[in-house]
Amino acid sequence: MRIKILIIISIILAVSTFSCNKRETHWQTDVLLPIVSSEMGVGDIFGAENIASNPDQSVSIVVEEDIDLLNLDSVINIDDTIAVDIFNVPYTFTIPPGQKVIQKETSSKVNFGKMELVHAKAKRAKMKFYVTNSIKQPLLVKYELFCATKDGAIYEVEERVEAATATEHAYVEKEINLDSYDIDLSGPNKNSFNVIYAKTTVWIHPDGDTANVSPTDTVLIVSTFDEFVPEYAYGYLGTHNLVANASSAIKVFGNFSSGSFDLDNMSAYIDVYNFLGVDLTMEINDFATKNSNANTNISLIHSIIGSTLNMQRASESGIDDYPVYARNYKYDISNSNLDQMVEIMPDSLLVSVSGIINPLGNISAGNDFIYFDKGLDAKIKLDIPLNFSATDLLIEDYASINISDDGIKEGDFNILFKNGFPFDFNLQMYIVDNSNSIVDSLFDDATFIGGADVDGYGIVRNKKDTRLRMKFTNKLLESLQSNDKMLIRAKINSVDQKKYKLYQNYSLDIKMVGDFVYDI
Amino acid sequence: MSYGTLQLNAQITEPKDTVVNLDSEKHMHQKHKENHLKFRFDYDLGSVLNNAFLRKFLYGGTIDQKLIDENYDRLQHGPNHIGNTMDFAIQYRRFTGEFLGMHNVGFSTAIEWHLHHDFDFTDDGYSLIMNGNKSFAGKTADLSNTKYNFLQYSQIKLGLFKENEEKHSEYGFQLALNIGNQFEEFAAPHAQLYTDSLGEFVELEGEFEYLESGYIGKNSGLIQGIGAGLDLFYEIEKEHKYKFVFEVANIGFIYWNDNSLEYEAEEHYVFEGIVIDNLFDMPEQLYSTTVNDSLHDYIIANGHRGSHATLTPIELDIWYEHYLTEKISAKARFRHKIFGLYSPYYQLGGTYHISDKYHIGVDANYGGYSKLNFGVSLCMEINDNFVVDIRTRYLMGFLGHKFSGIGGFAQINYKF
Repeated sequence: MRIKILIIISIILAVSTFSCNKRETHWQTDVLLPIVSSEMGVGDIFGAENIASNPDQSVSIVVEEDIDLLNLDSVINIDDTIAVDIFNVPYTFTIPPGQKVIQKETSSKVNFGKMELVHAKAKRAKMKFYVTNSIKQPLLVKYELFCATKDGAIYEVEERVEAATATEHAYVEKEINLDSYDIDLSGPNKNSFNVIYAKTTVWIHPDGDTANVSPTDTVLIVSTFDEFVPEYAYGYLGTHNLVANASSAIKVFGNFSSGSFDLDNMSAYIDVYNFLGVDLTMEINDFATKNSNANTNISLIHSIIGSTLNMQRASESGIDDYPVYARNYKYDISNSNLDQMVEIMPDSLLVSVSGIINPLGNISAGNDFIYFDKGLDAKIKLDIPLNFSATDLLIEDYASINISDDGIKEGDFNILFKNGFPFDFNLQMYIVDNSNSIVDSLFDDATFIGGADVDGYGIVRNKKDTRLRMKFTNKLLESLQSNDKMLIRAKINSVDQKKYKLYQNYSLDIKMVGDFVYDI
Repeated sequence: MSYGTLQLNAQITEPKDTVVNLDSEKHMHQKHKENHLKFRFDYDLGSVLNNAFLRKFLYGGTIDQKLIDENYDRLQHGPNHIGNTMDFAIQYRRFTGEFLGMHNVGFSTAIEWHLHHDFDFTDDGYSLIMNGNKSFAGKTADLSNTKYNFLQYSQIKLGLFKENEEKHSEYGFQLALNIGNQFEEFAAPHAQLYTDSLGEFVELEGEFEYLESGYIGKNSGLIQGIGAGLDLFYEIEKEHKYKFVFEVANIGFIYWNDNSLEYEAEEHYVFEGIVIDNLFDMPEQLYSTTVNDSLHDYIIANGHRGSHATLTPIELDIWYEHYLTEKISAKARFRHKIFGLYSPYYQLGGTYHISDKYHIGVDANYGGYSKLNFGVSLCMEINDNFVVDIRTRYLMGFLGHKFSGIGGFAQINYKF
């Protein structure tokens, strides 16, 4: 009996052991598979946002850089404190609850520097209103800011101030938000400027008791601008000397790290827009391009440099969306050394200007205006027809790689190029370590990708095929797996060093096909 | 002494309903008047692929090129099957004699658990998976009629049986409450994959259908569907002369809840590599998920959720045993699984009745998930109450490199 049971148990155990003996299953397959496909067009080289098509389907690089020539923060200065009012009574008397203690209208002149403003609008403005009470009863204080209106209503605020104690004055602080308020700075008689016109009324609070007020009792009210971000100002803006140094990044040549190219028929304009309601004169002291990597600057050589440019004032449109008709001045700088400035493949544009606002004084009789979101803007427009020759023009970039799959065994990667550019490319991909030092290269053999032939009109009709083979060895695989970055470098040369016009359909098609053993 | 639960033939087609697994050297009325508690475990793995391959594919190891080529030669230029089923059942059977005015009747109740996996693939599909697509460069791989089924469900059964003493026959039925745990079905009635001669693109086109329960995973106890089923059987026996059994089990369905996913589409997809807009602005990773994840995400995105009904695989089993002598019997069997990826199964075998307590048998079988195979069986009565029945269905699969299948059957019958 026991033997029978043992036999049964043994069989069951044998079957269970067989079933549970789980190891990893794997086998090798031969894979022929497209891995990556990519198309590099003109836009990928120069940035699609910088490319414009011409009527003949050729392409130009159009660079538009905006430069703010005038920092308007420097135009307006404002003192923080608007007014300090001290209220007291000349003799001792008693005042019942609810009775007015004092009422005072104040016209405080705000210091706006050289500006004599009759009207302003605050984008953001905060006043602070401090009241100190030495009377032994609570007060009710009303502050009416007659000069600040919004939707036809003046700004006013009432605030309770607690009673002073025997040893301490009572104190209250109130923040006044004047965002989007119109501020009339012409005073109560509308014939002045920079005036804040307000009225302060003080009562013994109706909830208090009768107060004994003596000449030593004071009510101190201080009002200040805590924040003032103007949106609009009107009046006489004063005469100001301005010096501005501006720069703007140029990204269009960012892909190129060295080499040179030769350009033709470039054109360029400087468009200056005066959005200020003031006359001004301006001089461009310097206008230069800079290649930071090469530490090279080239300044514009043109008659505009150092010349006085007179600009008339803008006018108000009365339209909310476009409140200003700007004055536009366009200066053609094509006839210059512009090609040299561009051929250094600049990464930034530098401008230095100086100028005078209201050089002739208050000739507008106080009718200057300024919208603070727009001042004096310059647009630099470069139109570079892509008709050029390239010499060892180097494009390079780093790309992340993550080959964690250890199933790929030895094999080849075949890379097919269909080159639609009349330029030769020398392509190499390097594996780099964390310090960007080259560890290995993906291609052992020739990496030359021949440029396409052009017809009698200089146009590429058929792409040129080139096939490169990347031998995928265990050593290369280990390098790829132990590093996570790749440097892709392409050197570009014009076929026969000639100049070619680029068309918008030109591209370099790349397809990587894996032909390898994969261990599943 | 009785051998009421003894199956004397070693075969893949062990009847699932133990009510009909009643075989005896005693009289029918005597046999059925006993009560039975039966435990049964049944495991099958069969394929056109040989065991050496299956063992490594399923349980681990390196599948070398020789083994891949050897199995390619075994393919049958039509649907090639891999099937894997596992069944567990506990049944209580009681002969009551009288029931609702009927005579010679009894009832049975059972709890069963079924796992059903099967997969149909083409020769090209095999070659594509095992050898890779390079061998198809410039050619089209035919993947039509690729199918995959996975079903896991439980059953609670209750039935009646009636005995006819004069005719030595018995018939009955069981009704089942089907409890669906999880399922997955894939079918590609038409599909093909073209690999460009230079590998510049691969092109997949075809009709694809996919169904799955809302959850598929390790939680096999989750109830995601409810259904019903029916078992029928009839058997007739003349002691030491012959026995005939007809059984059809699990005629039924499962209605899966509204979280089930259905996808059906005609696809034409050309893969030309991962498209990178700018070679000088490579993405961080060329891929971040497995193909399986991506495919499943795609199906989820393009499929729709809703209730769905599936039919359970119906098991048809017909066999006849004839006693050539008092000690030796011969047996022929036909079996089929309707709604499964199963070929008609034929079996011929013999049993040697050593004594009342020991029986051994051998059989040759062909079809089902496999091809030609052999099995052996051993049945023994341990004491007056226990009968143990153990068999290998694929003896040659265990012993011979070229054969296919791993299968076993064990049943303990406690009589009281």
